[in-house]
Amino acid sequence: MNSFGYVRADSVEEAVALLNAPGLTSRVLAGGTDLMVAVRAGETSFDRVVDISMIPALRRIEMNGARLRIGAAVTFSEIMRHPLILQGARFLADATHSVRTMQVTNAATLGGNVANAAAAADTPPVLVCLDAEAIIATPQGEHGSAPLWERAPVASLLRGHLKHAIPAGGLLIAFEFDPLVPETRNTFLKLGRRNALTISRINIAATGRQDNAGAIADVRLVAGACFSRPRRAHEVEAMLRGQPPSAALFAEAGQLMMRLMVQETGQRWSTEYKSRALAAMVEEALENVLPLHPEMATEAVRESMR
Amino acid sequence: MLRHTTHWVTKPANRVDGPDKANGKAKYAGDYRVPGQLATRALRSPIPHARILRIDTSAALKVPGVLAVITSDDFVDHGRFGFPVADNFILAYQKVRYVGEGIAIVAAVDAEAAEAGVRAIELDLEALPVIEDMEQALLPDAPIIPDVVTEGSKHGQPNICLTQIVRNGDPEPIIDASPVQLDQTYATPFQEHAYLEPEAVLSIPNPDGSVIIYACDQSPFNNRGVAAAVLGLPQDKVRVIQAIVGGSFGGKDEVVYQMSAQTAKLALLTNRPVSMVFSREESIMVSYKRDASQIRIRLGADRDGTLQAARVEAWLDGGAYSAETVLTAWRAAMHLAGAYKYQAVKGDVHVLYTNNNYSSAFRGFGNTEAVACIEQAIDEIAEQVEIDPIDLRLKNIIGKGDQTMTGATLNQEVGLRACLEWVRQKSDWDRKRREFPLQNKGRRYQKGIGVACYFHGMGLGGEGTDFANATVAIERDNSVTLTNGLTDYGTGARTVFTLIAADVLGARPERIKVLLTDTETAIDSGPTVASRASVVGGNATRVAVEKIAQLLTFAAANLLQCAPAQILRDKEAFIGPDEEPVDFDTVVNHARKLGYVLSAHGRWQLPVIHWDFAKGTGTPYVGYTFGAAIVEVTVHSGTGRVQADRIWAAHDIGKVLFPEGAYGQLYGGITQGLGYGLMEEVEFNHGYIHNVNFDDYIIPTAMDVPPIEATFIEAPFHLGPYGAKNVAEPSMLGVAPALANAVYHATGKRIRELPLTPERVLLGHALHNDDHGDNSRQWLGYGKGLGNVRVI
Amino acid sequence: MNTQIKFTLNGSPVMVEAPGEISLLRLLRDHLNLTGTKEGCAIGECGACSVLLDGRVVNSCLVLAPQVNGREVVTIEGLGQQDGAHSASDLQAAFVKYGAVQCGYCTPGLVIAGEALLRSNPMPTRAEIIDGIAGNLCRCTGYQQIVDAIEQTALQRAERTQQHAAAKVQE
Ligand code: FES
Ligand code: FES
Repeated sequence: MNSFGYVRADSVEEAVALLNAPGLTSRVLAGGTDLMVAVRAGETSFDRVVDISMIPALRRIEMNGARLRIGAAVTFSEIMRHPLILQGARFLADATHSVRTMQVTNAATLGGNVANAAAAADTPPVLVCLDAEAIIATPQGEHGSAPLWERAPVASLLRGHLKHAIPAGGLLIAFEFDPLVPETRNTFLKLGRRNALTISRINIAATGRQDNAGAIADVRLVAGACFSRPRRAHEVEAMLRGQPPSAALFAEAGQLMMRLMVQETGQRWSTEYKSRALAAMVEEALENVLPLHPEMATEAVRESMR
Repeated sequence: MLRHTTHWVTKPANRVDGPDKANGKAKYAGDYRVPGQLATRALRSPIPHARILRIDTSAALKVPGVLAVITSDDFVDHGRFGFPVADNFILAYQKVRYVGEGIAIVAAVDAEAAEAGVRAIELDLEALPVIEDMEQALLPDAPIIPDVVTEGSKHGQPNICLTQIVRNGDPEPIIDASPVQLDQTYATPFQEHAYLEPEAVLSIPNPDGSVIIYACDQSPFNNRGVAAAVLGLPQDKVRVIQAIVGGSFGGKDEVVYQMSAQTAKLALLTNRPVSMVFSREESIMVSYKRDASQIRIRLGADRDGTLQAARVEAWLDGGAYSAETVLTAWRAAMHLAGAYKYQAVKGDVHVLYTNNNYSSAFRGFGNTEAVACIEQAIDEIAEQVEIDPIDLRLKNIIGKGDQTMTGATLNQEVGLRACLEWVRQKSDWDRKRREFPLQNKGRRYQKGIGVACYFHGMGLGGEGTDFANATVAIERDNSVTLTNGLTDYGTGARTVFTLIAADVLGARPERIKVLLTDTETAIDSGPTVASRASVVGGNATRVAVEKIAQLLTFAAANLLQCAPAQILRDKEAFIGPDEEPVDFDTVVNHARKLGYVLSAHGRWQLPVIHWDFAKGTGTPYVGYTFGAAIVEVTVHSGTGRVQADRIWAAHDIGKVLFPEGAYGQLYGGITQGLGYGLMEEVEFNHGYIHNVNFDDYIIPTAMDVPPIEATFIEAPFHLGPYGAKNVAEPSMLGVAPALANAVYHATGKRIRELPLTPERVLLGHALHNDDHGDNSRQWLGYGKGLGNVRVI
Repeated sequence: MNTQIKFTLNGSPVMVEAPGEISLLRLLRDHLNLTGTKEGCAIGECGACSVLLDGRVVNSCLVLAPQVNGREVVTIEGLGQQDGAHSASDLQAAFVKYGAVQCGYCTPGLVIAGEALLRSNPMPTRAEIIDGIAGNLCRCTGYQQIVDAIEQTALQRAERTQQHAAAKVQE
């Protein structure tokens, strides 16, 4: 068995210091849902875990001025029910709820989901769609004893499956974004092989707003598990902006998304299926956030996906 | 002696082992902790097919903490076993034939030491060409997998283990002359049992050289037989005690026999208790599966939908060892053309060897595969003649006095028509069949509804003598102890035996205790398979208990000074002519005073029937159960994702003895059928299993199971206790084909290949992932290279 | 590397020396001999190992043993023992009564999940119950009777609470 030590941090400063203690390779332990699986599979790249899950400063959901701020050690269960999130980023709650199992949502943290950087993770596409920023404490001073707080777009931290760009010895503190205004619709769609306990084959986070004439004023679209990393599909968004929503337009958007995916990832064993399913899900997501008949509520659609 | 009123049987009852299970006290084999207990780890094959050139275990024995290492050399006749074909080994001998096959076992003071011991073993393998599928098995220059002479060898096809046939007339000319014809091939996947409890065994040596094996097996007597033979011990030196079993569904026989013999040998060598507990990955890679099948169905029918004849040929992928697939194939043959009347039916089921793990018993035992295919074919005929699928079935199903597809006459009440009519009415079938296609136009979410029906032969039938033994004893404290040679691995059989004994004896169920099966105290009853526990085991219990009940009646008559015939019973009371009730304890005490021996043995056997395996004719079963299922689905037209929305099921079970248990079996079976139809498939890539844990091998969660509305049609069965039949297996049969038929109704796409994954539904074919064995190798301990294993 | 782990287990303080790299599941089963908590997959995909950690249900196979230092763990063995409102024995009895137990291997985990659900949502709808047990695989029952058992327990508890309240008012 892999042998490593355990230490619990009570504050951010302590955590960063522990992570940067000389002579030890330390790793962050938050919810444990990914780490324990890796350890069982023989992961031996560290000799100590630093438990940050009990640090009070990382466990808050609050407004920071006009920005919504979610601590990195906030669990999925907390996100899923929090009024600020239900109001300002409902699709983030949907994404955490899509995991569907209390055992996991009680343990899994938002920071862990980002730092693990799995291609199929459910919350990163939503955070990217929100243009969320991550706040990171990076080591400064002797052994990182006086950490520096930095900001970086979440999108810039995700570097491909299981690869992240969080500075060595750094710690995710929180995520911040502008809550969505009520006129902006949002949706999170997930395609899994079953209804619970399933990783996403494809997931989509999207927001959309129409102007008074019904034309597309704003749209954001992010697909998970399709591209090398979750990113805004600017090409598709640009094509849509200013247009009146229509089934044909959304179909075209789906086709464009599909081409982008194949361009970026090449032909893999799953491409034949995923490209078609992705196109269909893009259409559906766009219909949800830019309804052809705006009186149709998104709620019904949300439910129909279960 | 059939009592007219029942007090306990058929009434709400609590499962006898329920409370212990619900409060965590129940002990499964992996829960036993004995002082000095050794842990084990196995050296397993990293490749699918190889000759074993050399095994050197000497370095392993030098590893601190390691106490013993065994290989096939440690067993009589190299540990060869297997029924009906003895082609399997307790540990691989001379060759390995599938990835994960056991080669050596190390016993050590703890798991880490055992693991170090395994890594120290030197093993040289000569890789052999791999047979990845059934097609390759039949190629002229295919490597020969088994080391026994097969039936197929006679025809130049050594990888065909055997062919089970049914011959009822000559269908081909009739089909050729029929105005409506169908010729299609269907495929079903390997299915993992996925019992929640991974396999576990604990062996404890005795000073006299005998050994006790606590095992999570399904059939302890078979286990004892195999262990005694390969250990070279007389049967009475091997005692197998069945622990509480955490689910089996047919899956805990051969693999547990291997574990039992391995740990027993190590226990005898080290004189220490030895335990073996599988991880989930080990369980999925090492244990056997439901065979994958390809079934070609040719049907002929009239324009009015009357079925005329069927010609069916099936190929079952039995994997590396034949195990029970030989019998699975027979049962498949007996059901290939479904529960319909035909003028002629001919069927062949071939069992093939490949290097894909191995296949054996799994709920439904061959009929699951058969129903999955024929019920799609029947829908295809219905479509050709433009008749509603239920109407077409009603027109063709067998009833009392008809000949089944094998040509045998059906001499029993048949609840099939009632089943079909019930599900039709409850599901609002006719309206939905009509309206869904209209509603679906231009919609993203498409609705469909589909049906399937089935019959299922009871008991072992032509597979073997169908008997069971039970004992009963009234103890000093007037409690009642039962044993039964047929076992309860989560099915509720012990509760059924308790209720039958309670009713026959007139004793509260709380008095009664059914012991876990122990080969030392219970009497051999053959294997607990084929859903035969209720009928055969239940009748044996009835026979045994009736003997005691008789003695108690005599004792009561003596006490009340009347004739035995004058004694009436009401629950525990004995009532004589003066109408003053006497209680159970008084009568039992009086019986003792009279010197009566209050213990008895009962044996019961189904009537002997005859099937001629060579000719493919005869009577396969003494009787059948019947059922029908309807599934309503929503299909996402853009992703191919299928959602089951509702299920209706009616099952002709005969008399329901233990309602909560029977419904539980029914819901559970339906859910396994749902998994089989929608998502479950053991994926082999070049002989390696890709999905080795529950993250990749997925089974339905609570969110995947839709509301189920189910009923039992109680067409009485004269041979069953109180008219009961069985439910455990048949309950899953109809679901997968009903799903396939519903998906067709929703989408117009006929997939013909299960499970109905999003890829198949959207693209019409499956995609193969790019795992070339990394997953398996990692969990076999080869993640960082082969170590001391050399492959040449 | 052995380490000392101190926590509250089923209401009582415990201190145990165990390797710091193991999961809470292994700690319970191998070092504290509490075998009611089951292992079905060891990767968080089956829920058989569910326990309550500070009152919330988690998969103990995904908890690093030393993580429970200073915290409170309740296993299936501890669930029925506690008094008053926290007793789950009624839920356990309902599992038996409504046929929610077959092979029983999933049962401890499902009872724990059911209890956690009822504590956070005393009157769940059927859909909420299904959602609440979505992390627990059961291969035997098809879940229907498990949902029944949890639903009936919620009803009974509500009735009892009402009776208590009524009795109080009368006093
Ligand atoms: S054993 Fe922990 S979730 Fe399966
Ligand atoms: S009762 Fe067997 S797994 Fe649930």
